[in-house]
Amino acid sequence: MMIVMGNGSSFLGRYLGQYYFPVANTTGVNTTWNFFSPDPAHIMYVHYIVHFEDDYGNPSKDPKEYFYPEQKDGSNFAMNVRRHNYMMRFMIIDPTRVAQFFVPWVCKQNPGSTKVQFALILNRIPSLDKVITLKDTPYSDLLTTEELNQNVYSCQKPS
Amino acid sequence: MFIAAKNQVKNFQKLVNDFLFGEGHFERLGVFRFLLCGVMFYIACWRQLNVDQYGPNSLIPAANAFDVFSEFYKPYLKLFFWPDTLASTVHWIYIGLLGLATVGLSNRVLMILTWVIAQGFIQRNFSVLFGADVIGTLFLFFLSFTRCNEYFSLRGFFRKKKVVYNQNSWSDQLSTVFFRLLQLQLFTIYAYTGFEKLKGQTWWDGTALWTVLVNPQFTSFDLLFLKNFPTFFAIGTFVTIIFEVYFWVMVSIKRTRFLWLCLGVLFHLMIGVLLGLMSFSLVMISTYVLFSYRTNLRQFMEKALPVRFQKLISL
Repeated sequence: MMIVMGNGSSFLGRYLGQYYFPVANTTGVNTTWNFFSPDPAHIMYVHYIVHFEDDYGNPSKDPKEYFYPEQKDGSNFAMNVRRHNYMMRFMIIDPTRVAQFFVPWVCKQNPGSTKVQFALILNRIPSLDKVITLKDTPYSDLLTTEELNQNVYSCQKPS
Repeated sequence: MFIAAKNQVKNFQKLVNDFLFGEGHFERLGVFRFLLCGVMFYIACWRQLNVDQYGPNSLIPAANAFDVFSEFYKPYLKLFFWPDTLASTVHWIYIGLLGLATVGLSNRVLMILTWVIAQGFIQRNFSVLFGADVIGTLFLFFLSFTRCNEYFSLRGFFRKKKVVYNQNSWSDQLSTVFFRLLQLQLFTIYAYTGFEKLKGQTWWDGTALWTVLVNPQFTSFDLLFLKNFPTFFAIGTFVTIIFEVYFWVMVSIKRTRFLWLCLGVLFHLMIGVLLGLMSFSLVMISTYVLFSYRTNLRQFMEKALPVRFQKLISL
Protein backbone atom coordinates (compact mmCIF):
# COMPACT_ATOMS: atom_id res chain seq x y z
CA MET A 1 0.00 0.00 0.00
CA MET A 2 2.63 2.53 1.05
CA ILE A 3 4.71 1.87 -2.06
CA VAL A 4 1.82 2.34 -4.48
CA MET A 5 0.27 5.31 -2.66
CA GLY A 6 3.42 7.40 -3.05
CA ASN A 7 2.14 7.73 -6.61
CA GLY A 8 -1.50 7.17 -5.83
CA SER A 9 -2.83 8.88 -8.93
CA SER A 10 -1.06 6.38 -11.19
CA PHE A 11 -3.04 3.55 -12.79
CA LEU A 12 -1.88 1.08 -10.15
CA GLY A 13 -2.72 3.53 -7.39
CA ARG A 14 -6.22 4.10 -8.75
CA TYR A 15 -6.80 0.42 -9.45
CA LEU A 16 -5.54 -1.01 -6.18
CA GLY A 17 -6.43 2.04 -4.14
CA GLN A 18 -10.12 1.17 -4.03
CA TYR A 19 -9.25 -1.59 -1.57
CA TYR A 20 -7.35 0.54 0.88
CA PHE A 21 -8.26 4.20 0.28
CA PRO A 22 -10.19 4.36 3.58
CA VAL A 23 -7.09 3.35 5.53
CA ALA A 24 -4.52 5.15 3.35
CA ASN A 25 -6.40 8.47 3.33
CA THR A 26 -7.13 8.43 7.03
CA THR A 27 -3.61 7.49 8.13
CA GLY A 28 -1.93 9.92 5.73
CA VAL A 29 -0.19 7.26 3.65
CA ASN A 30 -1.94 8.54 0.51
CA THR A 31 0.33 11.56 0.19
CA THR A 32 2.53 12.83 -2.59
CA TRP A 33 6.08 13.27 -1.38
CA ASN A 34 7.03 16.42 -3.22
CA PHE A 35 9.44 18.72 -1.44
CA PHE A 36 10.64 21.67 -3.56
CA SER A 37 9.20 19.82 -6.53
CA PRO A 38 8.39 19.61 -9.35
CA ASP A 39 10.16 23.02 -9.28
CA PRO A 40 11.06 25.22 -6.30
CA ALA A 41 8.69 28.14 -5.84
CA HIS A 42 9.60 31.77 -6.46
CA ILE A 43 9.11 34.63 -3.99
CA MET A 44 5.40 35.22 -3.53
CA TYR A 45 2.99 36.88 -1.18
CA VAL A 46 -0.53 38.22 -1.15
CA HIS A 47 -1.37 41.90 -1.34
CA TYR A 48 -4.91 42.77 -0.38
CA ILE A 49 -6.91 45.91 0.34
CA VAL A 50 -10.01 45.82 2.48
CA HIS A 51 -12.74 48.29 1.53
CA PHE A 52 -15.53 49.60 3.71
CA GLU A 53 -18.61 50.95 1.94
CA ASP A 54 -22.09 52.05 2.93
CA ASP A 55 -25.30 50.75 1.36
CA TYR A 56 -24.86 53.12 -1.61
CA GLY A 57 -21.33 52.00 -2.41
CA ASN A 58 -19.67 55.10 -0.98
CA PRO A 59 -16.56 54.62 1.18
CA SER A 60 -17.54 54.70 4.85
CA LYS A 61 -14.02 54.29 6.16
CA ASP A 62 -10.49 54.46 4.77
CA PRO A 63 -9.47 51.23 3.06
CA LYS A 64 -6.87 49.10 4.85
CA GLU A 65 -3.90 47.63 3.02
CA TYR A 66 -2.31 44.33 4.09
CA PHE A 67 0.24 41.78 3.02
CA TYR A 68 0.01 38.09 3.74
CA PRO A 69 2.31 36.94 5.21
CA GLU A 70 2.99 40.25 6.93
CA GLN A 71 6.72 39.99 6.23
CA LYS A 72 6.38 39.88 2.48
CA ASP A 73 9.73 38.26 1.82
CA GLY A 74 9.38 35.91 4.79
CA SER A 75 12.40 37.32 6.62
CA ASN A 76 11.10 36.07 9.99
CA PHE A 77 11.94 32.39 10.29
CA ALA A 78 10.25 31.68 13.63
CA MET A 79 8.23 28.51 13.24
CA ASN A 80 4.93 30.10 14.19
CA VAL A 81 5.44 32.91 11.64
CA ARG A 82 6.61 30.54 8.95
CA ARG A 83 3.40 28.55 9.13
CA HIS A 84 1.60 31.57 7.63
CA ASN A 85 3.98 31.41 4.69
CA TYR A 86 2.97 27.80 4.11
CA MET A 87 -0.69 28.73 4.52
CA MET A 88 -0.36 31.46 1.89
CA ARG A 89 1.19 29.03 -0.60
CA PHE A 90 -1.51 26.47 0.06
CA MET A 91 -4.20 29.07 -0.59
CA ILE A 92 -2.83 30.49 -3.79
CA ILE A 93 -2.17 27.13 -5.47
CA ASP A 94 -5.91 26.91 -6.10
CA PRO A 95 -7.71 30.26 -6.74
CA THR A 96 -11.03 28.78 -5.59
CA ARG A 97 -9.52 28.48 -2.11
CA VAL A 98 -9.01 32.26 -2.08
CA ALA A 99 -12.72 32.87 -2.61
CA GLN A 100 -13.85 30.04 -0.36
CA PHE A 101 -11.50 30.49 2.61
CA PHE A 102 -9.18 33.48 2.44
CA VAL A 103 -11.71 36.21 1.63
CA PRO A 104 -14.33 35.19 4.25
CA TRP A 105 -11.51 35.01 6.81
CA VAL A 106 -10.30 38.52 5.94
CA CYS A 107 -13.87 39.85 6.03
CA LYS A 108 -14.42 38.28 9.45
CA GLN A 109 -11.24 39.90 10.76
CA ASN A 110 -12.38 43.31 9.50
CA PRO A 111 -15.92 43.87 10.75
CA GLY A 112 -17.89 46.18 8.47
CA SER A 113 -15.76 45.41 5.41
CA THR A 114 -17.60 45.07 2.12
CA LYS A 115 -14.96 44.21 -0.46
CA VAL A 116 -11.49 42.66 -0.65
CA GLN A 117 -9.18 43.63 -3.49
CA PHE A 118 -6.82 40.70 -3.97
CA ALA A 119 -3.56 40.21 -5.88
CA LEU A 120 -0.83 37.63 -5.75
CA ILE A 121 2.61 39.22 -6.06
CA LEU A 122 5.19 37.01 -7.69
CA ASN A 123 8.82 38.07 -7.65
CA ARG A 124 10.35 35.80 -10.23
CA ILE A 125 13.91 34.79 -9.41
CA PRO A 126 16.13 35.20 -12.51
CA SER A 127 17.66 32.06 -13.92
CA LEU A 128 21.25 31.24 -13.03
CA ASP A 129 22.20 31.65 -16.70
CA LYS A 130 20.79 35.17 -16.76
CA VAL A 131 22.56 36.18 -13.55
CA ILE A 132 25.90 34.90 -14.86
CA THR A 133 25.46 36.50 -18.29
CA LEU A 134 24.36 39.87 -16.91
CA LYS A 135 26.83 39.86 -14.04
CA ASP A 136 27.26 43.66 -14.10
CA THR A 137 23.53 44.28 -13.66
CA PRO A 138 22.44 44.57 -10.02
CA TYR A 139 20.57 41.44 -8.92
CA SER A 140 17.55 43.46 -7.78
CA ASP A 141 17.11 44.72 -11.37
CA LEU A 142 16.93 41.15 -12.64
CA LEU A 143 14.06 40.22 -10.35
CA THR A 144 10.76 40.65 -12.19
CA THR A 145 7.54 41.39 -10.37
CA GLU A 146 4.14 40.22 -11.59
CA GLU A 147 0.69 40.74 -10.14
CA LEU A 148 -1.42 37.65 -10.68
CA ASN A 149 -4.99 36.55 -9.94
CA GLN A 150 -6.17 40.13 -9.44
CA ASN A 151 -9.74 40.16 -8.35
CA VAL A 152 -12.21 42.03 -6.18
CA TYR A 153 -14.31 39.86 -3.90
CA SER A 154 -17.42 40.92 -2.01
CA CYS A 155 -17.82 40.17 1.66
CA GLN A 156 -20.96 38.38 2.70
CA LYS A 157 -23.02 40.40 5.16
CA PRO A 158 -23.33 38.61 8.48
CA SER A 159 -26.80 37.15 8.76
CA MET B 1 15.28 -31.75 -7.89
CA PHE B 2 11.97 -31.61 -6.02
CA ILE B 3 13.84 -31.85 -2.72
CA ALA B 4 16.27 -29.10 -3.77
CA ALA B 5 13.36 -26.82 -4.69
CA LYS B 6 11.62 -27.65 -1.42
CA ASN B 7 14.80 -26.78 0.51
CA GLN B 8 15.08 -23.50 -1.34
CA VAL B 9 11.50 -22.59 -0.45
CA LYS B 10 12.24 -23.51 3.18
CA ASN B 11 15.40 -21.37 3.17
CA PHE B 12 13.47 -18.47 1.71
CA GLN B 13 10.76 -18.88 4.35
CA LYS B 14 13.40 -18.85 7.08
CA LEU B 15 14.97 -15.74 5.57
CA VAL B 16 11.63 -13.91 5.54
CA ASN B 17 10.85 -15.16 9.03
CA ASP B 18 14.22 -13.96 10.36
CA PHE B 19 13.82 -10.63 8.57
CA LEU B 20 10.39 -9.98 10.03
CA PHE B 21 10.57 -11.67 13.40
CA GLY B 22 14.26 -12.43 14.01
CA GLU B 23 14.85 -9.91 16.81
CA GLY B 24 13.04 -7.36 18.95
CA HIS B 25 14.80 -4.17 17.75
CA PHE B 26 14.22 -2.64 21.21
CA GLU B 27 17.35 -0.49 21.06
CA ARG B 28 16.66 1.05 17.66
CA LEU B 29 12.99 1.60 18.39
CA GLY B 30 13.74 3.14 21.79
CA VAL B 31 16.26 5.67 20.51
CA PHE B 32 14.09 6.45 17.49
CA ARG B 33 11.08 7.03 19.76
CA PHE B 34 13.11 9.43 21.90
CA LEU B 35 14.35 11.42 18.91
CA LEU B 36 11.12 11.49 16.90
CA CYS B 37 8.81 12.28 19.80
CA GLY B 38 11.33 14.81 21.15
CA VAL B 39 11.36 16.72 17.86
CA MET B 40 7.57 16.47 17.55
CA PHE B 41 7.28 17.77 21.11
CA TYR B 42 9.42 20.78 20.15
CA ILE B 43 7.37 21.41 17.00
CA ALA B 44 4.12 21.08 18.95
CA CYS B 45 5.29 23.61 21.57
CA TRP B 46 5.84 26.14 18.77
CA ARG B 47 2.54 25.20 17.16
CA GLN B 48 0.72 26.14 20.34
CA LEU B 49 1.39 29.73 19.19
CA ASN B 50 -0.64 29.00 16.05
CA VAL B 51 -3.48 27.27 17.84
CA ASP B 52 -5.89 30.01 16.70
CA GLN B 53 -5.68 28.37 13.29
CA TYR B 54 -7.44 25.33 14.76
CA GLY B 55 -10.10 27.32 16.59
CA PRO B 56 -13.31 29.16 15.67
CA ASN B 57 -11.33 31.97 13.97
CA SER B 58 -9.31 29.64 11.79
CA LEU B 59 -8.82 30.37 8.10
CA ILE B 60 -10.59 27.10 7.36
CA PRO B 61 -13.84 26.60 9.31
CA ALA B 62 -14.23 23.17 10.92
CA ALA B 63 -17.29 22.40 8.78
CA ASN B 64 -15.19 22.88 5.62
CA ALA B 65 -12.00 21.20 6.83
CA PHE B 66 -12.32 18.37 4.30
CA ASP B 67 -13.15 20.73 1.41
CA VAL B 68 -9.45 21.45 0.89
CA PHE B 69 -8.84 17.81 0.00
CA SER B 70 -9.64 16.57 -3.48
CA GLU B 71 -11.88 13.49 -3.57
CA PHE B 72 -8.80 11.38 -4.13
CA TYR B 73 -7.09 12.40 -0.88
CA LYS B 74 -10.16 13.02 1.29
CA PRO B 75 -9.94 11.23 4.67
CA TYR B 76 -12.73 8.73 5.32
CA LEU B 77 -12.74 9.24 9.05
CA LYS B 78 -12.85 12.56 10.86
CA LEU B 79 -10.23 12.35 13.60
CA PHE B 80 -10.65 15.81 15.14
CA PHE B 81 -13.26 14.74 17.63
CA TRP B 82 -13.05 17.93 19.72
CA PRO B 83 -14.98 21.18 19.19
CA ASP B 84 -12.97 24.18 17.96
CA THR B 85 -13.37 25.92 21.30
CA LEU B 86 -11.32 23.13 22.93
CA ALA B 87 -8.52 23.16 20.34
CA SER B 88 -6.04 24.82 22.68
CA THR B 89 -6.77 22.40 25.54
CA VAL B 90 -6.52 19.35 23.28
CA HIS B 91 -3.26 20.69 21.88
CA TRP B 92 -1.84 21.01 25.39
CA ILE B 93 -2.89 17.41 26.08
CA TYR B 94 -1.16 16.41 22.84
CA ILE B 95 2.04 18.14 23.97
CA GLY B 96 1.80 16.30 27.29
CA LEU B 97 1.32 12.95 25.56
CA LEU B 98 4.31 13.62 23.32
CA GLY B 99 6.35 14.46 26.43
CA LEU B 100 5.40 11.14 28.00
CA ALA B 101 6.26 9.29 24.79
CA THR B 102 9.63 11.03 24.58
CA VAL B 103 10.71 9.77 28.00
CA GLY B 104 9.21 6.33 27.40
CA LEU B 105 6.30 6.58 29.80
CA SER B 106 3.71 5.91 27.14
CA ASN B 107 2.24 2.68 25.84
CA ARG B 108 0.53 1.46 22.68
CA VAL B 109 -2.91 2.78 23.59
CA LEU B 110 -1.58 6.18 24.65
CA MET B 111 0.63 6.41 21.57
CA ILE B 112 -2.28 5.61 19.27
CA LEU B 113 -4.28 8.32 21.05
CA THR B 114 -1.32 10.70 20.53
CA TRP B 115 -1.34 9.82 16.84
CA VAL B 116 -5.12 10.28 16.53
CA ILE B 117 -4.81 13.80 17.97
CA ALA B 118 -1.79 14.58 15.75
CA GLN B 119 -3.61 13.36 12.64
CA GLY B 120 -6.75 15.17 13.82
CA PHE B 121 -4.88 18.48 13.85
CA ILE B 122 -3.53 17.72 10.37
CA GLN B 123 -7.07 17.10 9.10
CA ARG B 124 -8.51 20.11 10.90
CA ASN B 125 -6.36 22.63 9.04
CA PHE B 126 -4.36 21.07 6.24
CA SER B 127 -3.10 24.44 5.02
CA VAL B 128 -0.95 25.27 8.02
CA LEU B 129 1.32 22.24 7.86
CA PHE B 130 5.05 21.70 7.66
CA GLY B 131 6.51 18.63 5.96
CA ALA B 132 7.79 17.67 9.42
CA ASP B 133 4.20 17.50 10.73
CA VAL B 134 3.11 15.12 7.99
CA ILE B 135 6.16 12.85 8.04
CA GLY B 136 6.52 12.89 11.83
CA THR B 137 2.85 11.97 12.32
CA LEU B 138 3.06 9.16 9.80
CA PHE B 139 6.11 7.70 11.57
CA LEU B 140 4.33 8.11 14.89
CA PHE B 141 1.51 5.98 13.52
CA PHE B 142 3.83 3.08 12.72
CA LEU B 143 5.78 3.56 15.93
CA SER B 144 2.60 3.32 18.01
CA PHE B 145 2.30 -0.39 17.23
CA THR B 146 5.84 -1.25 18.29
CA ARG B 147 7.39 -1.96 21.67
CA CYS B 148 9.36 1.27 21.48
CA ASN B 149 9.01 2.19 25.15
CA GLU B 150 11.29 -0.51 26.54
CA TYR B 151 14.74 0.90 25.78
CA PHE B 152 16.08 4.38 26.63
CA SER B 153 13.07 4.90 28.81
CA LEU B 154 12.28 6.04 32.35
CA ARG B 155 10.58 2.67 32.74
CA GLY B 156 14.07 1.29 33.32
CA PHE B 157 14.13 2.89 36.80
CA PHE B 158 11.13 0.98 38.14
CA ARG B 159 11.06 -2.11 35.97
CA LYS B 160 11.05 -5.39 37.91
CA LYS B 161 10.95 -7.94 35.08
CA LYS B 162 13.60 -8.30 32.43
CA VAL B 163 12.52 -7.30 28.92
CA VAL B 164 12.63 -10.28 26.60
CA TYR B 165 11.70 -10.79 23.01
CA ASN B 166 9.34 -13.67 22.39
CA GLN B 167 9.12 -14.62 18.74
CA ASN B 168 5.83 -16.41 19.32
CA SER B 169 3.99 -13.57 21.02
CA TRP B 170 1.62 -11.59 18.80
CA SER B 171 2.62 -8.39 20.55
CA ASP B 172 6.28 -8.86 19.66
CA GLN B 173 5.44 -9.99 16.13
CA LEU B 174 3.35 -6.86 15.61
CA SER B 175 6.21 -4.75 16.90
CA THR B 176 8.82 -6.21 14.57
CA VAL B 177 6.54 -6.03 11.52
CA PHE B 178 5.88 -2.35 12.17
CA PHE B 179 9.61 -1.81 12.63
CA ARG B 180 10.10 -3.08 9.07
CA LEU B 181 7.19 -0.94 7.86
CA LEU B 182 8.93 2.11 9.32
CA GLN B 183 12.03 1.30 7.28
CA LEU B 184 9.98 0.66 4.16
CA GLN B 185 8.07 3.93 4.59
CA LEU B 186 11.32 5.89 4.76
CA PHE B 187 12.59 4.19 1.59
CA THR B 188 9.34 5.05 -0.16
CA ILE B 189 9.42 8.69 0.92
CA TYR B 190 12.97 9.20 -0.30
CA ALA B 191 12.42 7.43 -3.63
CA TYR B 192 9.23 9.33 -4.48
CA THR B 193 10.74 12.64 -3.37
CA GLY B 194 13.50 12.03 -5.91
CA PHE B 195 11.09 10.92 -8.64
CA GLU B 196 8.88 13.98 -8.11
CA LYS B 197 11.92 16.22 -8.55
CA LEU B 198 12.68 14.58 -11.87
CA LYS B 199 9.38 15.98 -13.17
CA GLY B 200 10.68 19.52 -12.65
CA GLN B 201 12.49 21.37 -15.40
CA THR B 202 14.93 23.11 -13.03
CA TRP B 203 15.91 19.87 -11.28
CA TRP B 204 16.54 18.23 -14.64
CA ASP B 205 18.41 21.35 -15.76
CA GLY B 206 20.62 21.37 -12.65
CA THR B 207 19.62 24.82 -11.39
CA ALA B 208 16.87 24.04 -8.87
CA LEU B 209 19.16 24.68 -5.88
CA TRP B 210 19.80 28.19 -7.20
CA THR B 211 16.07 29.03 -7.00
CA VAL B 212 15.91 27.57 -3.50
CA LEU B 213 19.06 29.13 -2.05
CA VAL B 214 18.48 32.71 -3.25
CA ASN B 215 14.80 32.79 -2.32
CA PRO B 216 14.59 34.87 0.89
CA GLN B 217 11.37 33.05 1.77
CA PHE B 218 13.38 29.84 2.01
CA THR B 219 16.73 30.92 3.40
CA SER B 220 17.80 33.42 6.03
CA PHE B 221 21.33 33.73 4.59
CA ASP B 222 22.45 35.93 1.74
CA LEU B 223 23.86 33.30 -0.60
CA LEU B 224 23.93 35.41 -3.75
CA PHE B 225 27.74 35.25 -3.79
CA LEU B 226 27.36 31.59 -4.81
CA LYS B 227 26.54 32.78 -8.33
CA ASN B 228 30.31 32.93 -8.75
CA PHE B 229 30.44 29.15 -8.25
CA PRO B 230 27.72 27.92 -10.65
CA THR B 231 29.00 24.34 -10.66
CA PHE B 232 28.05 24.17 -6.97
CA PHE B 233 24.37 24.39 -7.96
CA ALA B 234 24.65 21.88 -10.79
CA ILE B 235 26.49 19.29 -8.68
CA GLY B 236 24.33 19.95 -5.63
CA THR B 237 21.12 19.57 -7.64
CA PHE B 238 22.12 16.24 -9.16
CA VAL B 239 23.60 14.89 -5.91
CA THR B 240 20.29 15.65 -4.20
CA ILE B 241 18.34 13.63 -6.76
CA ILE B 242 20.82 10.75 -6.78
CA PHE B 243 20.88 10.66 -2.97
CA GLU B 244 17.08 10.48 -2.74
CA VAL B 245 16.33 8.11 -5.61
CA TYR B 246 19.01 5.60 -4.61
CA PHE B 247 18.61 5.89 -0.83
CA TRP B 248 16.75 2.59 -0.51
CA VAL B 249 19.33 0.73 -2.60
CA MET B 250 22.42 2.13 -0.93
CA VAL B 251 21.08 1.74 2.60
CA SER B 252 19.96 -1.83 1.91
CA ILE B 253 23.50 -2.75 0.90
CA LYS B 254 25.52 -3.19 4.08
CA ARG B 255 28.76 -1.94 2.52
CA THR B 256 27.32 1.41 1.41
CA ARG B 257 24.88 1.95 4.26
CA PHE B 258 27.23 3.93 6.52
CA LEU B 259 28.38 6.19 3.69
CA TRP B 260 24.81 6.94 2.58
CA LEU B 261 23.60 7.62 6.10
CA CYS B 262 26.55 9.99 6.69
CA LEU B 263 25.69 11.74 3.42
CA GLY B 264 22.10 11.95 4.62
CA VAL B 265 23.07 13.54 7.93
CA LEU B 266 25.19 16.10 6.08
CA PHE B 267 22.44 16.70 3.51
CA HIS B 268 19.75 17.25 6.12
CA LEU B 269 21.94 19.39 8.37
CA MET B 270 22.63 21.62 5.37
CA ILE B 271 18.90 21.89 4.70
CA GLY B 272 18.32 22.55 8.39
CA VAL B 273 20.86 25.36 8.67
CA LEU B 274 20.55 27.01 5.25
CA LEU B 275 16.80 26.72 4.83
CA GLY B 276 15.87 27.07 8.49
CA LEU B 277 14.11 23.70 8.42
CA MET B 278 15.91 22.13 11.36
CA SER B 279 12.80 20.41 12.72
CA PHE B 280 12.20 18.67 9.39
CA SER B 281 15.86 17.73 9.17
CA LEU B 282 15.87 16.28 12.67
CA VAL B 283 12.78 14.18 11.93
CA MET B 284 14.54 12.73 8.89
CA ILE B 285 17.87 12.19 10.66
CA SER B 286 16.12 10.48 13.59
CA THR B 287 14.91 7.74 11.23
CA TYR B 288 18.51 6.75 10.45
CA VAL B 289 18.69 5.06 13.85
CA LEU B 290 16.40 2.41 12.37
CA PHE B 291 19.29 1.31 10.16
CA SER B 292 22.01 1.27 12.82
CA TYR B 293 23.53 -1.98 14.05
CA ARG B 294 22.07 -3.11 17.33
CA THR B 295 25.42 -3.81 19.02
CA ASN B 296 26.96 -0.55 17.81
CA LEU B 297 23.98 1.43 19.06
CA ARG B 298 24.12 -0.34 22.44
CA GLN B 299 27.83 0.37 22.84
CA PHE B 300 27.34 3.98 21.84
CA MET B 301 24.51 4.50 24.32
CA GLU B 302 26.45 2.81 27.13
CA LYS B 303 29.40 5.12 26.53
CA ALA B 304 27.29 8.25 25.97
CA LEU B 305 25.20 7.99 29.13
CA PRO B 306 26.64 8.69 32.61
CA VAL B 307 26.63 5.76 35.04
CA ARG B 308 23.62 7.02 37.00
CA PHE B 309 21.52 6.97 33.83
CA GLN B 310 22.52 3.49 32.71
CA LYS B 311 19.20 2.17 34.03
CA LEU B 312 17.51 4.02 31.18
CA ILE B 313 19.03 1.56 28.75
CA SER B 314 18.78 -1.61 30.79
CA LEU B 315 16.46 -4.22 29.38
